[in-house]
Amino acid sequence: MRALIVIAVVAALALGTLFWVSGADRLVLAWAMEGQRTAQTGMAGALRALRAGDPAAVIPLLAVCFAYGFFHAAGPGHGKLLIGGYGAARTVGAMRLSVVALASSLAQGVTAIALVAAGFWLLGWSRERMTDTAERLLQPAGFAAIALIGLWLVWRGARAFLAERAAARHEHGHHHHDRSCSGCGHAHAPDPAAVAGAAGWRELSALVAAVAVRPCTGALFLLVLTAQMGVFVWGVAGTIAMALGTAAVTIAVALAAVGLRRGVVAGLSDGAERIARLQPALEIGVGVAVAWIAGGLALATL
Amino acid sequence: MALAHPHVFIDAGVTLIVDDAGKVEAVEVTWRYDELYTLILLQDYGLDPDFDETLTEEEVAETLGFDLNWNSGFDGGLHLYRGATELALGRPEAVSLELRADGRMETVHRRPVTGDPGGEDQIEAQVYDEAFYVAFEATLPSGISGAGDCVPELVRADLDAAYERLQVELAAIGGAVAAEDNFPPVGAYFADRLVFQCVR
Repeated sequence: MRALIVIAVVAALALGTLFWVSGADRLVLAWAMEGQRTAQTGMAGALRALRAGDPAAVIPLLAVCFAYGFFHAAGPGHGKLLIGGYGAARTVGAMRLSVVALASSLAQGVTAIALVAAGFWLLGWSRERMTDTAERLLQPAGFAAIALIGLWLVWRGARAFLAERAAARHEHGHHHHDRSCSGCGHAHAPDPAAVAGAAGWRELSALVAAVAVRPCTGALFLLVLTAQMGVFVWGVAGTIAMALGTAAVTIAVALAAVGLRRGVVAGLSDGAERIARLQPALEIGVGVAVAWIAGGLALATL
Repeated sequence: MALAHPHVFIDAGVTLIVDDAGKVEAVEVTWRYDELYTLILLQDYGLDPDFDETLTEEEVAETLGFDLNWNSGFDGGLHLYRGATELALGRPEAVSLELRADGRMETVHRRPVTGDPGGEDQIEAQVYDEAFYVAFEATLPSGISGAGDCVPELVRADLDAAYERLQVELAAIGGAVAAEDNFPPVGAYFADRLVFQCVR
């Protein structure tokens, strides 16, 4: 019963945070939309100058692309769902998650670059065909990947939870806080450090891939335009600038999520045992939330 | 299209064509595309390859009407009312296409209007994309053909209220995280109104 309450509270907390960090606030929305419009106009101006043969226009182009990425990420976006959810659920350092946020933004840019390069030169696709592919195929794929990571969190949490229950039954009469047990060969109780253990690189690359699978429309616009204009290299540079702008927001979300998780854990725990008990609940709660939202989105976009 | 929040920005204007009995028989709609989408259109249709920012007559003739093959639930975005009665609009016909000196493409199309009962009630026009992929603003000159003194009142969308309703709709589908791909159809909330008091 207590575990259920903890799960409910944590899930509610995590959901609330996700909505908050994802910018469901009216002011943020208005500001992001207005900013995007302004950035879009600036991008067009720089591209026109570039097209007319003014190499100096590259500087404003990159600046405007960065701004576009920033505003785009400040509005609705799914990278934040995953990075924020993950940071809230798993023991992962702020630095490490920030690197993941940056890497996934850059990888997302690379996906757009690869899609347009292949579509434009190898396949001879039209702009509509490329945005269509991004929309119909990569979008649901991206959400499905995120839902899977949510389920992975649930599975991890459930496994640790069950292991702990089983261990508790075995442990009558034993010393309860025996942390050295993990070294005793056949550990019954999960070592808190292992349960809450730092996220491995495999898990983190899955995060990056899940975000990266789905390129953003703004980058596709820019890349197709520059490919047609014969200045694709500047489109690539602009896309990277956009990714850095996006990363600025997702890194902020990552820091907020890690901070929140630490706050919850520190506020509720008075020892390693508590952490061991809370960590699975945290993972299950956030995992369910992430899988539920992303799964629904994957189905809706199919 | 299922894409998120506005990616295309269009300034619109509406000109009513009224018969002798004071009934609206047709309407001309002007769309002025934003700078970036104009660039995309130029590249898509292979226009202005010499970058002189003007289109040749051949280019105009070939491209005219490119934006009138409406699909994916978009019906042209125009809504016309006499009092509370919504008037029926026919298929669009291209009128003109121009690349402006400010780097924005502007097109005009004309649609027949049927079922206007006439009378004293005001005419109201709105232009919006329900899906909000395109954000329309009714900020271009609007009026009544042949009646230069009748200028409609432009009632701007209440953006504060619009964003509030957007927020409610976003919350209903699971928050802004969900909106990237299932943006709620909130275009109407962001729509300006053009109110013609002098059509009779």
